[in-house]
Amino acid sequence: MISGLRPYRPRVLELSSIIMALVLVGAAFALLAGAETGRIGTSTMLRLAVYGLAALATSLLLSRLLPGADQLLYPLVVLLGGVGLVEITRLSPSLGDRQLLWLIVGDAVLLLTAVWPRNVGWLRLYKYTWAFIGFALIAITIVHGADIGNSGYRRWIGFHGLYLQPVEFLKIFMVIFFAAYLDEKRELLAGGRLVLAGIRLPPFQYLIPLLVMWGLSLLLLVRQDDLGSALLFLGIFLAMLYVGTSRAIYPVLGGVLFAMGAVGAYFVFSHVRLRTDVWLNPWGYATTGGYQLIQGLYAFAAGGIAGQGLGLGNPNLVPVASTDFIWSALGEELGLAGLAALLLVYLLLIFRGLDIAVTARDGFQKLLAAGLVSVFAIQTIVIIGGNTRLMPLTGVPLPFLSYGGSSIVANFAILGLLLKVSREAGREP
Amino acid sequence: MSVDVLLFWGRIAFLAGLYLFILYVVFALTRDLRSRSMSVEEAAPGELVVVDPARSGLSLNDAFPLMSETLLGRSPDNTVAIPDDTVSSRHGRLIFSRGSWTIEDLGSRNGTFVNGRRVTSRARLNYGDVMALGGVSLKLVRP
Amino acid sequence: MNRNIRRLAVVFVVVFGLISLDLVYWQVIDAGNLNSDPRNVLLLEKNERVLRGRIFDRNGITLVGRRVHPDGFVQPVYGDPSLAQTIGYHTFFRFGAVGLESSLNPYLSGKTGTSLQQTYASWLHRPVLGDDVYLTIDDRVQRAAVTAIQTELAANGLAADTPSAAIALNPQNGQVLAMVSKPYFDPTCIGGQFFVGRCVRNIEAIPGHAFVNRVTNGLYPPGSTFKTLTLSAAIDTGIQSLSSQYRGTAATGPFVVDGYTIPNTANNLPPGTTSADLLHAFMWSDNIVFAQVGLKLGRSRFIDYAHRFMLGHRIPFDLPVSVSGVLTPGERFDPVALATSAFGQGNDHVTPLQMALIASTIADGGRMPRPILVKSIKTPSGSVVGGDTSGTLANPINGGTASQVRHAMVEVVNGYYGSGFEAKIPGVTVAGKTGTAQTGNSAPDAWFISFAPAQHPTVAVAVVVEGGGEGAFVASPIARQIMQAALQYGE
Repeated sequence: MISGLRPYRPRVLELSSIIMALVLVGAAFALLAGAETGRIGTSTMLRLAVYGLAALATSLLLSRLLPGADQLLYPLVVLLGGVGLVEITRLSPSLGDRQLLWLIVGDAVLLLTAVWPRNVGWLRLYKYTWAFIGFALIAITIVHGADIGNSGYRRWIGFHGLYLQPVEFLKIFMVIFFAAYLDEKRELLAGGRLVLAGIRLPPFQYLIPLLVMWGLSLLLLVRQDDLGSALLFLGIFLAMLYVGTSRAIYPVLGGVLFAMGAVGAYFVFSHVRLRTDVWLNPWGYATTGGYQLIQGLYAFAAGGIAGQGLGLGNPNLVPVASTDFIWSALGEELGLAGLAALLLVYLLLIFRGLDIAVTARDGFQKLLAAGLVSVFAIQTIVIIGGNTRLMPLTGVPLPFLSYGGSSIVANFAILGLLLKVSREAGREP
Repeated sequence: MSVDVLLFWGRIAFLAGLYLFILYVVFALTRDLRSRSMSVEEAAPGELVVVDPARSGLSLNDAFPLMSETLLGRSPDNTVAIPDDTVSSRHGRLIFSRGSWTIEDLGSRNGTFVNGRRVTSRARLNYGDVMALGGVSLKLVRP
Repeated sequence: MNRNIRRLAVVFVVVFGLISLDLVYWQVIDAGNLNSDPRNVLLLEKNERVLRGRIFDRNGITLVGRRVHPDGFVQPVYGDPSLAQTIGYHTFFRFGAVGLESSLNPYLSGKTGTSLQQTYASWLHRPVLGDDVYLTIDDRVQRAAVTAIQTELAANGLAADTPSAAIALNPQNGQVLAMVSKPYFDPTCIGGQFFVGRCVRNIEAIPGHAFVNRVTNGLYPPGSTFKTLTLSAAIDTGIQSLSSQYRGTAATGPFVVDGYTIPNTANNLPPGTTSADLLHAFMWSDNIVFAQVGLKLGRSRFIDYAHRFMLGHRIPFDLPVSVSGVLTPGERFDPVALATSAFGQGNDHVTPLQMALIASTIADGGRMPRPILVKSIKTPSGSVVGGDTSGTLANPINGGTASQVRHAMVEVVNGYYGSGFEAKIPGVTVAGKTGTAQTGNSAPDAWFISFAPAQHPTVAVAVVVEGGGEGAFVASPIARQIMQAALQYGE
């Protein structure tokens, strides 16, 4: 059970899974090239080679830097990232090359996380620092941020031509802070003497973070029109609160509070109202706010069960397909069969992540891992649910599949943290 | 074979490959889960939860999974290592046998107590009982 | 805490399950609706790439071809504008499709059935291939009809764009050989186009409603051609024979019915003639006599025979056909109406197709054939999937009646002072009936119905020229030239 005593072993399972994933990504690239030009050109080979070599090199370096860390998470990510890369290349080759670059940066970030911090426990020591950085990021964005794409909201921070979406990094800081805070105050939050309307509540001061979180979510919703991030933060927070305290009343209460806030926002703020109306009746806004959603639904339908085939659909008819609507683009070209497979890959990622949480060495790391996995899970649910009209459409990137530098980098950092937790748990493989 | 036929069957093969990959990962995952439960074959139904960490490096509510034979003590080679000065380096032993737990004091300096009563050599331990090793209190709970 | 994490996993699995159910809904259950939603741009994209079936005449002459642009966009190529209303056109947007392009759309766009082969082809993204349609139209007869109308309009001092209609069919099997409705238009700027607004406005600006197919949808008073029906009814019921005599005012008029006077100018008798039997009354087209025949038949028998000849019924055809009739809805059939209906005025309203079918009935021994336009439909692989729907529409009169009426019609063309003399063809016996229908406009519509050869007819024709004046002078020479072409090129 003590990892340090285990002899160094090559990560055979990880390597073999990565090679399988790369074969699939290569096949996808080949199918795309075949559909577009009838032959497989050098640019296709080059893209595949760069992506494959980066993945293999990362795996080899991981076996040096994090021996004993989990071997299944990274191959799953290699597959997701690769499929996303192919589809983005299909939508726009130049965007695809940028995504390839971001994926390599992501690998680098993953390796960086493996080296620093030296151990996960170190993170809990500075929990208020992380929380402060997170809030500072949001504050700066709201005040000084840039508005890319003229959405009417500042959601980006730019310097020297490089634009970042701070929300993507905020989620990591928040999860670290919550994990540390909850692990510390678990007893108090789980116990509680104050009884209010039949519900046992902890002393008021311990409820403050909950209320702050609720406020932050609503702030994101109203100030930034960023329902996706609002749902994401609230979801992560409530999931972690439940894991930490075992009390289901918190997520229920939090959910109800948010719902009330959202209903209130519906009546007070016109942009929230419009978004909801478009969701409920997209065909009433077929040429305006509902256009994107409806084209997305047509794309799903065109895909059917087996899909049109990579490069053979018309996914470019959906505006901004490479970010918010990558799922419907994939739905058109890979069909239900492909989407179900990708959903399974996400589920495996979540399962494996939560398994890491279960075997993590202490409460903080359990909460940390569960929270980070919840980021993936909830983000996936929110954007796919938005694409399929299960919930209002939100502009959240699909982890590892959507185009976006900030999102890719942040998600690779999360992956790195999960691998570290698994390593410190001394799991094999 | 013309390109469109090739692309079609390639597409089917790609989808099949996706599921093969998933199967492979699921297989590895379950094998891993099974081997982990095998390696703790002696894992026994119980957890020790810290209720009073005293000045040890442990924290409240830390939980330790138990083996059918679990060594408790200060030194790190114990199954449950408790880095506290009041705990002897090899303090005691928990044994799970025929459905019940027994605590055995291995001649500790500051003694082992179950629900406040000192254990001379061995004592029966029920779920919910609080056991004190030196100044550190641990509760036996169902996993 | 581990228990909570496991529960969290269960929550995620449940939500993912919901998502996949939702995907099943959009990609399988509701996919059919979404894929055929007219607002779906993907549908348009797909439709414009369909290798739409071509349309040929009976001998394989291309009437509608297709041109495939390098980007996969498929455009129809129209050959003969005189078939514009018959073949119609097909558009991608709200103007939809009309004519055969509409009624045969499932075949032309390859949407009939979902054979394994078609499904496989769609999986391979191969363009959908429509079925080719072979019409019963004979391009040569069609051209002869167009030329005949042009020539005779000019010869009679009528404007070249005078609205007119002509149809020729084979009475034995109902196959339509030619079908012209003037004015017609060039559908090139509509068919297979996206933006058709200006083209449609230009066509609408042509005087005389070019979009209307007058053969099937033009409703005209038939004038004296309708006496064919009245004569058939009178002989078939046995109340009259060809030798029934009318003398004096019974033949010359004026004839007063219910205080309404039919003047003696309507007797059309040769100068100096004061009596006629029914045969000659038909030959000379005596309205006085036929008003009396109508009254003798009576309201119910007259209406019964009108129904037997498919008036008041929707005629099954490859194009929508307006319903002909002797009464307008809600009208009382008083004796004046009956008497005038009997010679083709009153409220009689018929399509040229209807009149051609009446001629066909006499030609084919009392059997009315079902008119057909489609000879065969062939899949891209060459197998025949449909087409020939020939059959019998009705048997209004018995063979004996038919041969007597045929004799009367032969006399119209060949007899002394017969009104249809212009339809004579050397070496062939032609049977026919002229009509000059009062419409309330200054000039009456000119009509002619006929068939040939009289003893074994292979072509029956109906011609109407709006405001053409005497049927004998404009309509019958047109019919003659059409019949000549049909006899020359007939099988």
